[in-house]
Amino acid sequence: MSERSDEELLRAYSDGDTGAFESLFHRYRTPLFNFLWRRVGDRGRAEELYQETWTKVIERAGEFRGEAKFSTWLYTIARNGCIDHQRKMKYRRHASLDETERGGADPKIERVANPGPAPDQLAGGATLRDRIGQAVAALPDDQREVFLLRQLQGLGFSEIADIVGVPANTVKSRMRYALERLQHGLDDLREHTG
Amino acid sequence: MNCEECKEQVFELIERESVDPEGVHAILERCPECRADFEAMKAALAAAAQLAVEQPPAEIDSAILRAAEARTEPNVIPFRRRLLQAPPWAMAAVALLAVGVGVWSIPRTVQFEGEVGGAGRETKDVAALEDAIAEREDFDQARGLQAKAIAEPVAPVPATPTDEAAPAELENRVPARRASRARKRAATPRAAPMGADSAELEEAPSAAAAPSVKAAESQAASRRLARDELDAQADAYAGAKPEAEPDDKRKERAVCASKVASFEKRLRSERRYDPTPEEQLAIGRCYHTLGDTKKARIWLDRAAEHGATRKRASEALERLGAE
Repeated sequence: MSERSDEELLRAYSDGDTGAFESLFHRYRTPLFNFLWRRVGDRGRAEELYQETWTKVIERAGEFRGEAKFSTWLYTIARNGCIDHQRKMKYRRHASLDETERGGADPKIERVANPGPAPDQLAGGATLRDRIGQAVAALPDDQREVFLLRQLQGLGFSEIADIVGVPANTVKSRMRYALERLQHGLDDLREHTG
Repeated sequence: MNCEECKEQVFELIERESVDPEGVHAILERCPECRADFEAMKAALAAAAQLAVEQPPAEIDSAILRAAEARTEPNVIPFRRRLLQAPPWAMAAVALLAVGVGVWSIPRTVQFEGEVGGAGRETKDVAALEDAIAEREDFDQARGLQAKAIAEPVAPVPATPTDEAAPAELENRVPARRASRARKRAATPRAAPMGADSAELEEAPSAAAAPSVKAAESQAASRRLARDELDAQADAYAGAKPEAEPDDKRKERAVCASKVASFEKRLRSERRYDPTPEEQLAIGRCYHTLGDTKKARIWLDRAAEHGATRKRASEALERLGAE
């Protein structure tokens, strides 16, 4: 028997099939959570946004018309949640290293001398995964979200373009820049570890 | 294709989205620099695939699945459960209303037993009483006529058409009298219906039947009042019970419950967490929505201390106070 599509599952849930929601939920729970976590950079906030996103899906399931793919809809909700969150954080006026200076394209972190991995990390055997995580966290928001949607959920460039609201070619460029930055970050690691 | 174009296409080639894969391959074969870029990009993608993946907390997953399940459940909750779930203030209001109705009904019953008078609410009951009295009078009159006919059967008086027609005439007179009373009632101003009715009651011609009829009337009136009281109580319950909540209200409560849960969790886990005035206002409103007035007041008070949220927080506090 062929697997039901996301849209079919959501429709079934709207008609009262809780099992359909469960299937849908298990398809997306891990990539969505990781997208949110890497996007906001804080596990606690990611948990809140994760819950809020699914709550909205539950509330609006009946409104889903199937004009877009479920994944597009889900990640649009999640991304909007992240943007709202960031907007709220701006009120706090806490200078963040991820913020870009007015008129500048690069986040402040780009202008801070790269100290490389901390000695204790090197001595303690900081894993490649940790370093990749740090390199991803250091990416600018627009590149990071494209990278995460592509890497974690395996979404197509046109779908990512729909989610972030830019042309597909811009998405490809952002992905390429993100990979180049990661590449540099990992080169640093290789240099420091010999 | 030149090297610059090739560099732009390298990524697309790896992602199998290149518009000119042959052209890129040709450049890669002859240009070591482009080849190095290609290899670096492949290495970056391979490394990115090793990005650590975290699992969301199981308790949040359970909460989400429970919420999803609750969404598909029918809205109607059994009455007894709704009653138990009703907030204490609603229960108190219902109890107060029931006591009020009870207290209010006592003097009304006494009034019916004694002199009829007072507010116009009982017009309907008095009208019913009137009808009962009239029926009783008509019945008594008819019985009197029949008794007379039975008592004087041997009298040599020929049966007149009037006597023979008496029961039929009486039957005809009853609706006529009812209509007359109805007209009178309609003409009587509502503000003072009791005076007119009581005068009519005083004019009741069957003096002998009056005490027993009055007793019957007072019993009937008591029964009606008791029934009214029960109806009022049922209405009060109906008003207090959470009738299938509108969808948007339910959504608002769900969103608030989620926000409050997250907020409280954050408050517990982050020692340095200091909510912004906007957050204080939002959470105060959410507590209000969820019926926790104490916490709502605490956070709204805090939000009212800040210039940006003072006005809105004060308004919310006023609404809270009004409830």
